[in-house]
Amino acid sequence: MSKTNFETPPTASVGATMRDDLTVRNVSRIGPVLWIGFYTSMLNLFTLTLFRFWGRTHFRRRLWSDTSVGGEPLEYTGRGLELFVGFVIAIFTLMLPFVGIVFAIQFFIGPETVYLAAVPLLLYAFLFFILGVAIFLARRYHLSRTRLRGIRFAQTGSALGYGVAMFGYLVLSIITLGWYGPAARIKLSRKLWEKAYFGSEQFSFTDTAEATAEPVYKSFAFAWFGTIIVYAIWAGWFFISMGESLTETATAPDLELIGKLYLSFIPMVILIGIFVSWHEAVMIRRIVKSLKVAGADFSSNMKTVDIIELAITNTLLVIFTLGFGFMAAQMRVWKRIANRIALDGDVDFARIQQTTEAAPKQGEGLADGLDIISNF
Amino acid sequence: MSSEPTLSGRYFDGESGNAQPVEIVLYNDHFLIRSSKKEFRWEYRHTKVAAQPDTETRLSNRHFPDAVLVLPSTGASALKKAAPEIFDGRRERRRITALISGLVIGAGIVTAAVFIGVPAASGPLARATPKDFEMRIGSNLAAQISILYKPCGEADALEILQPVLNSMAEKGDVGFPIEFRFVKSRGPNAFALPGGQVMATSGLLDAIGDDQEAFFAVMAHELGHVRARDGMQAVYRNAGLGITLDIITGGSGAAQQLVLLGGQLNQLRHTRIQEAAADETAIEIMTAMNLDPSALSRAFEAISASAPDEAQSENNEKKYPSWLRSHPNTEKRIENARQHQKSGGKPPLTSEQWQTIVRTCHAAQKGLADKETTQSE
Repeated sequence: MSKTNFETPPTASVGATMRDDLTVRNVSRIGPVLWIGFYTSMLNLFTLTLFRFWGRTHFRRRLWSDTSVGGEPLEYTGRGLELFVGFVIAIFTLMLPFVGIVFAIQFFIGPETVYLAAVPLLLYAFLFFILGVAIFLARRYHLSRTRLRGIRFAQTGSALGYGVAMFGYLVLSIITLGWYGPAARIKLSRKLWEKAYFGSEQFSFTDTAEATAEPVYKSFAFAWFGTIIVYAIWAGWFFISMGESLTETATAPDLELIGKLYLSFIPMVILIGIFVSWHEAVMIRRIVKSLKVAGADFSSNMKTVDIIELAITNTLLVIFTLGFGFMAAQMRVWKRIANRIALDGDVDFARIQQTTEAAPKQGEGLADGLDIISNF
Repeated sequence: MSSEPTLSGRYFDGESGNAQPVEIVLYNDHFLIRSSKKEFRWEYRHTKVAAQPDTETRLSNRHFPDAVLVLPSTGASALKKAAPEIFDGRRERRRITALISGLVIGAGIVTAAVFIGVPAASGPLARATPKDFEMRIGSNLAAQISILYKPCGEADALEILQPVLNSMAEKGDVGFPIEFRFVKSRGPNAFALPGGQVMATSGLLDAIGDDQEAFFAVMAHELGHVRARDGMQAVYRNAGLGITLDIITGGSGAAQQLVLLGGQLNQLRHTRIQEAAADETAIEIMTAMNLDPSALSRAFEAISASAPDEAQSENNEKKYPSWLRSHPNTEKRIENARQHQKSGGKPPLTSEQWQTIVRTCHAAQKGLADKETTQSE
């Protein structure tokens, strides 16, 4: 058994089996990723944002290849065309029918129809269910296009089942004013990871002593009450200082009001971010510490200060680059999470066989259509 | 026969996660990868650089989908001499150039379709739409709008007004029965929905006061929208342009917002054209009703003067270029309407009847004003 250091630089030696070295490391630099974000944004302008599928692929290739386990980099084998085709399929199978139904209700069903109010509610409920399906399908694609040492990852399980579970947990979270949220997040993570594979090796999600020792609900209470307090202060300030401008009869947008509103979001978001960051760090550790694959236990020493620092600097990065720094911001999150992960155990890579799971042909079109896509 | 020295590297065969130390023997058009157990033949033309971190080069081959050959930098240099085509980025650059060209052309076609084709088709489509279908859409939209803008006014006021509006619609050959209602709102405004649904706000009555001709000029303008089936055209335009752009665009950052902004500016251009055309129809209807068409200019003046955010509106009018506005420049519209001044005949309503109209939403309007005053205090 060996325990790797969090900050040990990667080593790579030709011919070695790397039996003991499981150091997780990301060495991404901001410059190249900013460049990918910049040219993706520029080309998006001239391609009605259709270049985003290829830009996202370039970004992932870079990020994956900068991330190594035991000195062997991850590989992203997805293609922009696959994302594009997935998106086109999602347009015709889901988005256009959905928009068509919404339009049909709006225009063709008479206002006197009793069920009129219920139909949009059902549609939006369906949308939340689909959200879970989209997340699952996107993840299945990601893992199927991720390779380490020539071995593919895979996600099995049912997308519909995940969608139903996510919808149910969402309802419970709403009923409990968010307090079911942390439990739901852990359950959903378990649902995904227990059906995930690295080649022939199945991941497990175990409530280890280290994982359950994380103060999930204490940190959630801090985040919940903190957010309420910040939001109440912001809302009070907003209505007191701008009440007179908020007449229902204004016919032209009040630019000063809009400007103040946006500016006021910055301290509010930062303060809420500070309250939430402890919980975020706890949740990352809680989930990572539950994972195990091929005899290796995962752990994470993600800290609250990491989240605060990333939240503030990434917000500024995105604002000052007019959005094209978004990929760089995501890279910084990935990098921090990766460099805070450690693997402990002996992995016999020779024993790990290629996955027999068939990889999906297209990817994450649904998630893209629903605008919930993450670049990684 | 080997043409180059033998290289060493490590090989992942894509079957197990084990790294196998291998020897690579180079030939003219391929190389052999030899492990202690097996030998693999990789053609140069099917081999490409998968990644090239600082210290090593990772190669993949189309016929060995999950296999990876890792060469140290010295080995990679030797391979580059023997098979420069593997490292030649021209193939990849050509692919990227073709991809970007294809996407730009595709985006150009979609842009032309939604920015030019859809607006151009919206007029013929609106005219081809069965009228009872349009009326149904209009009454649905009116019902939805009523959630935000509550109707106001007594039945007797509407009974007085309806025959005049019917007469205007008939003289203007509007083509739809007019269904009119007043709605509660401080802002002086009127609007036409598809299928002959016309609404005027309580704020409009307040702004116009005793000048019934000005009110009917505004109504004539709205009837212009009904006749041109502008509401229906907007439905087709929004469906074609708004939804297409909304569905196609994605990602994040300024690029997506700029594309959507382009769509909105295009919409504004069309509404300005429709507003100008509705002004012309208003002049035509007012003339046919033997009323003074320049009453439209008085309506614009009254609306500008009484808008609750009057100063803001004036500033906006001066501050923003015409292409950022939904309506043509008000001063120009006033000037245009004034050019058609002629002494009108007798107003369609007696002053007593008109006072019934003016009073009909007075309570609602006063309630809104009181609410606003309370908020200001």
